[in-house]
Amino acid sequence: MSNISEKILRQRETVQKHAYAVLCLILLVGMGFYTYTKYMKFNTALNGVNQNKTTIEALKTAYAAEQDIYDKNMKEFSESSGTIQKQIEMVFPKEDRYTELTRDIDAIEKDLGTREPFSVSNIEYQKPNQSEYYSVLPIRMSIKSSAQNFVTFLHMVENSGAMDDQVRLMDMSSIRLNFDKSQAKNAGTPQELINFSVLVNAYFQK
Amino acid sequence: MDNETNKNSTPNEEPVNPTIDSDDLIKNIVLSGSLEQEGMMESSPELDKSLLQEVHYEGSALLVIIKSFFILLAIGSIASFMFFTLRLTNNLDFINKKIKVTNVIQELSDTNREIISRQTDLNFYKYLQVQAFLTNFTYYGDSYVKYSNIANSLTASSIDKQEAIKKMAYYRPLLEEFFIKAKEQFAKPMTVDLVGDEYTDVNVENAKFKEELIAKLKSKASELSKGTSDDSKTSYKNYLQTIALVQNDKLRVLITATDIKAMDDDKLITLIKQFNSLLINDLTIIQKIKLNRIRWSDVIKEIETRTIAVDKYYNNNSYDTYGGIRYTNYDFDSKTKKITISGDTKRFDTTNFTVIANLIDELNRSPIFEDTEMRSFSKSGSIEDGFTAMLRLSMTLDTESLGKPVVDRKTDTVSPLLDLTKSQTQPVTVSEPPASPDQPDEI
Repeated sequence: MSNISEKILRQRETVQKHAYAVLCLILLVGMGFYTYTKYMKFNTALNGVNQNKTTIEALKTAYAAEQDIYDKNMKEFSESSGTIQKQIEMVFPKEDRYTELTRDIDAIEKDLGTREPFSVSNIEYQKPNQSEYYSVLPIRMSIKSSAQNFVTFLHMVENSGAMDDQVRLMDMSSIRLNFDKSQAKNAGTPQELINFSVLVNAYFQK
Repeated sequence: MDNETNKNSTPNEEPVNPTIDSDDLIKNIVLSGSLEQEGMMESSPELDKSLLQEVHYEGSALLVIIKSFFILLAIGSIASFMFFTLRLTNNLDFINKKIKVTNVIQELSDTNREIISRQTDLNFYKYLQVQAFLTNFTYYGDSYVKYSNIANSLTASSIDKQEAIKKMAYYRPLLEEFFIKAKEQFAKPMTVDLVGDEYTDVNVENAKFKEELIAKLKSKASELSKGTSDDSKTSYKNYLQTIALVQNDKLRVLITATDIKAMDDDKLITLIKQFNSLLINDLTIIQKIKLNRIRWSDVIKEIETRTIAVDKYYNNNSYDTYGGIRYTNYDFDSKTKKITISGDTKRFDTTNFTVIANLIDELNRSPIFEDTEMRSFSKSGSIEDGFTAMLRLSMTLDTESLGKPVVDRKTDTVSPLLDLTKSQTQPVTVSEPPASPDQPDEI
């Protein structure tokens, strides 16, 4: 009888052992996996935090250095930026400023006319139009000029808009030249007089 | 009912009805009243306690160890769960605050944010400097292109050309200086490696820094958007242009990949033009307008050069004496690229039409003119007074070829634009010699 009971108990114990062993194994594997993955994440994050703290210190130093350089250059930047903006305003103004342009054309006429014939008989400002990045003021002009001054005038318009010259940005949309019949004998020579009608575009900011 | 049930069951089978087992059995026991049964009910069975003592079995040590191990594992699991929940999540935030334990993920996120913020501050100053360098580059580039145009002009005087070359030499070091400064800034790292699942992709990381920088610049710009002073307007525009610069990856690639010192003048001009096409600011808009305009003086010069190839006494004031070509009207239109030339030809040998035909061919040979034509020919006059034919040529301007080396369409020979006359390698058959009334020319 005692043997039977003992056997029963032993069997029960064996079952318990197995059950606990299985549970331990499951728990061990589960906990091991959980702990391992979480630890890896934790360790990466912890290293990341330490790395970030070092980076932050380096960035603080770099920022201070960069700010010093920027501050030193700031005055120069402001001056050059201001100068550039003023020059841009001269060649590429915010408005059409046709009165200023009229005075400029008069000054050109006066300057060129001192050497050889050059006279502007008519200026007609047309309605401004806009494109994607700029606005255009079309100007029709009738001019009587010597061949040399005609070329000089063409150069002036072709090279206009340079920052160092501060001449208003323009281009020629169309040119119509008529060689004066009374000067036909001299046609093609430097002394000939040319009547030309030009459509000039003066540009300004949109 | 019970009998029926018993009848239905087979002899070998045990009774199945459970109600008989429990209720009837108890009832039978009570009713039968046998001595044995009475005895069983009256006295309880005696237990042999010695048996029980023998059954007592001391548990296995292994089981205890396993159980203990299990308990340890369970405690360990709970501890692990608690630890990692506290350090890696915000689920137990109230405990974190009480025991002053930081959440590492949160700390990582905070430090990442701080890095982005600090790097953005750094990038802010870097890009403002790059913007200033590039503004200066385009500014001096404007003058450089202008003097390059003069140096390569067909009609500029040699003194002007020499002066222009000197100016180009003056501006070149300035262009190099500002370009290299911008390149050096771009060579510095604009991003920092961040740790975290969201920053495993470098492109995402770069986009994050760019996004933060643009947000900072926009914020600075918006502070100045309502300013009325010139300074605030200038700064506002500067911030907007810097935003465009940050977004301009192509320009950044161009700058970092270019060795400006190794470039000759033509390549530098091309670089400046590329800049103007990639960068949008007032200076580049000005440059774009300049690049699109037609140098009519060069076009007129080309017409003259091609005319001289047909009439070598053109422009010599000898039209009435020897005849030749005389223009009375030019009509240029930059929108349609159409050119119309009117005039007349005078010959004393009746070959006016040949002169015009030669002129048409010569003009068509020019790389900058296309489709030169005149479909109707008429002349009047006499051998004594000379024959005069009206001239009305129409042609189209090929603006793509303007400013490029001249390739004579007939001979495919290449010559510099500066010296167009060298492109006339084909002798002109009819224009020479000029006919005069005294010495009539024979064809």
